[in-house]
Amino acid sequence: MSLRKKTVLRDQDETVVLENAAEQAELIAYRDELNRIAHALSTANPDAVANVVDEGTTLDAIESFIDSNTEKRFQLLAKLLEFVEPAFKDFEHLLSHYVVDVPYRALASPSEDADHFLTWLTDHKTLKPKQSDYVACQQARFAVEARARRHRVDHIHFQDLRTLVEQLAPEFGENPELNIRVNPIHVWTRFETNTLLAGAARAPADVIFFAVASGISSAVPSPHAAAVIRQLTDWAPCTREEWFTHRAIADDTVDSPPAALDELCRELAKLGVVAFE
Amino acid sequence: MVPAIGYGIRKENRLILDDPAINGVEITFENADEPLRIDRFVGWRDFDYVSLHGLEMSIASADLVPRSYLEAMQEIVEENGVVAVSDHLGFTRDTVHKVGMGHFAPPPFSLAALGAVCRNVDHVQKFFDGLPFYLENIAYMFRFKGEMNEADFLSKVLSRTGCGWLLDVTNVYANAQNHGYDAYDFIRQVVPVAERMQMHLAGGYFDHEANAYIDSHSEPIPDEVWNLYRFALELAHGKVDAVFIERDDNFPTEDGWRSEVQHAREIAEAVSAGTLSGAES
Repeated sequence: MSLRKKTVLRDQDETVVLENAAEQAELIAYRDELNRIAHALSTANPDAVANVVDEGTTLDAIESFIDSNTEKRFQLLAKLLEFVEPAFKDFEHLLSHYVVDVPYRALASPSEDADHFLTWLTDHKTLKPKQSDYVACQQARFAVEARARRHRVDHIHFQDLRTLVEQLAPEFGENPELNIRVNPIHVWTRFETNTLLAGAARAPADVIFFAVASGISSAVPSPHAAAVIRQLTDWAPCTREEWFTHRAIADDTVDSPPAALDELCRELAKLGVVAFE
Repeated sequence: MVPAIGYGIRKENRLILDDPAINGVEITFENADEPLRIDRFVGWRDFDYVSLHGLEMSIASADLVPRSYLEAMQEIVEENGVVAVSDHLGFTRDTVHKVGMGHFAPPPFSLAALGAVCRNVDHVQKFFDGLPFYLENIAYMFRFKGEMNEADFLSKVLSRTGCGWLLDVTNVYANAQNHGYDAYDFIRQVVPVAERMQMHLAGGYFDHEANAYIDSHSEPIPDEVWNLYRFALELAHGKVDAVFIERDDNFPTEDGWRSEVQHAREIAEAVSAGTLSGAES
């Protein structure tokens, strides 16, 4: 069974236009009324629908509907943002503020809503450097997901190639036919503190987040490795020969022995940042 | 004919999807729409019947379901060998300001709403050319002023569009409890109009503070719902394609998962064999 063939983003509802004028007028009136109701229920305004509910309906029932949806949204966001939560003493308060102030965007996925919260957070609060790193880290993860949504075919193809890395990596440097591919589902971010950095890495550090199988990995490449990844992102797919030619033409490349570059490329392949085909 | 029987797939019940009592599953589109996923959502097993269940078509909106949403569903259809599609008789968003309520509400049961729903069902059926589409009756805590009751409205939608009915038995039970009508009468009225059917079963609880039955998908299926299920199967004999149990919270043990689907199968097999009579009460 084939996996997704197309890149799809959800977008606008399609407006209906009817030929019959009376039917069109009825449709417009219905659209206006339903959207007014939906807007009121999305923005916690139960009073605005009090005149259109049937006789047996109480305001409590409408409020309960709104509260239940708000609570579900809060719980879902809290779960998706578990990683960020410890960085903020008043996280629950901020999240509560958000779900009340910012209506749920129609057709947004929960991750998109959570990402929107982080944008709202950075707009509404001056973050400490450590908090900024937590937010940047989580935003990068959401950005990987969003990128995979836009480039799903490329994601599937690259993950297929990854299964060949173990077999092809030893050939790299010897087989001139091999092409280097950069993982299309990667994003960069920068950490300003050491809070989230492991090992020898020190802030400020550029961090790459990338898809591995159905998950997300991250790495803190050395400045040299980061420069190589960025070059390859611009130039790949390319053979090793073409890559070296590009490097020779470019003015800003650090002079590195070919064997060291081969080894670096194999390391990046092992991580899942590049693959061969 | 015994319908395909199984669960709405949740990560908590994946471990029992190889149970011999299960030969069908339902995928909730919003759960399966994981951009990083590289394998089939439905897993390795080839089920007899896989249905895709949407939450956000907003079929009662005056505007048509976005083509991009349907295309995203189509990808899940192709990846997972889906043979049927469903969504709810309700609306979820303000299509002008692009804000969502987070859950579906029932449309006003009016003529204008009827026109809008039928147009959208036609639109969806045309898109999923060849795949049957089923419309689910929802549980609601409030209703809008309208010109007919829900059973009349639903019957008109089914007869005008020819779409299937996803009879959520628990939703009928909950609405009957909360809005004072007879669940058996509701089912008796609508079943004859439906060309084909699916069913949902779930368990909720009675909230004494709200004085209402809450369709929370968090409890075992109550006897009253099992009885309605039997009744509906008998009435709809031969045209129920699939039955799915929904559970979203307070998850049972492995034995609990297995015994509930086994029970659903036993009832369907007994009704099919004519060895069980409906338990109208």
